[in-house]
Amino acid sequence: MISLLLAAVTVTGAWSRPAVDTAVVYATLHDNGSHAVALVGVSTPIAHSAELHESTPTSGGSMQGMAMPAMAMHLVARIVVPPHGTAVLRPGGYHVMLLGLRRPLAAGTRFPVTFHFADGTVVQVSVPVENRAF
Amino acid sequence: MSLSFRALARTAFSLAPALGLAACAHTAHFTGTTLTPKPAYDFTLTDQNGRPFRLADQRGREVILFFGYTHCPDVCPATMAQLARVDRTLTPAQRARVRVAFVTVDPQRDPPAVLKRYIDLFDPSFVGLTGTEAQLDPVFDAYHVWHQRIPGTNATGYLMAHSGSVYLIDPAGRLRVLHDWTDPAPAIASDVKELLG
Repeated sequence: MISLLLAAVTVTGAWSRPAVDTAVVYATLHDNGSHAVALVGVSTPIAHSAELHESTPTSGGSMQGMAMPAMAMHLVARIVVPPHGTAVLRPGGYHVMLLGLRRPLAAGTRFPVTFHFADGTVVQVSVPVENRAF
Repeated sequence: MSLSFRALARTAFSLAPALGLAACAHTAHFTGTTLTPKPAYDFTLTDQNGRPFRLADQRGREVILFFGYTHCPDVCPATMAQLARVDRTLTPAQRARVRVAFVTVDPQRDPPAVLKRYIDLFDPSFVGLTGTEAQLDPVFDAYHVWHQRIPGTNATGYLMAHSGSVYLIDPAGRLRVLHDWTDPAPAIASDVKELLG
């Protein structure tokens, strides 16, 4: 607990959804120090690979003159957390994409995820699998 | 007494068209984007059990359509979880009159067996639909489903950018309301119930 309070970088509110082959991890990254930090990677034993992604709104055409929302997704190299600030990984924004799950994720279970930051900080989190949308 | 009742009834009768109009105006109030009611484009696709699913056969039921792909980690499962939440707010009688259908924009990677495992994550009563490109393309056109393949990594293969609209088709088979995938479940549920009447 003391080390958690003193840590320069902390990760809170991590969660994932039930999945068969492709899964997601959302979380809030906190930079408790006075220099920006950046999440540069994630690892977990339950998936073949993990990538940092960002979903962004894009123009998706229209129906009866009404604009229709559309979303695109792209790989990002890093997610920067400002000093004394947070970066939020959430639906429709930054997220971790887990590919090639070694086993399906069922609601009510947990799995380990390690967050790797550019300054060498490593944060381990037990991520709950939850039946929620947002 | 009976006279005044009849007079009242006559008055009510003469007002009926105006009242009817007011009632219509009220029932047409939706939280989503209200469309001019038009017959929803009919299609036959293959469901997650390998059986044909024809939209026109759903007459009498409301259909909630969403287009996505099973390799999508973010927007699609969020929307599907949201629609499962909507479904859970319905009474059993209402639920029996609602079909949630997920149509893949990635038929290459989403055959029925893959769709089945995916649908079962959210609600086994949901329908997962796929088809050949020749079957799907007219559906995408008719529902203005914008979708585009975007290059991914070796691990992801490719990703799909796609529309995030949820389509509500009333029990008479008319496309009535559009929702954004980020709309709150209670807002979607309210329109779903309104269309059930």
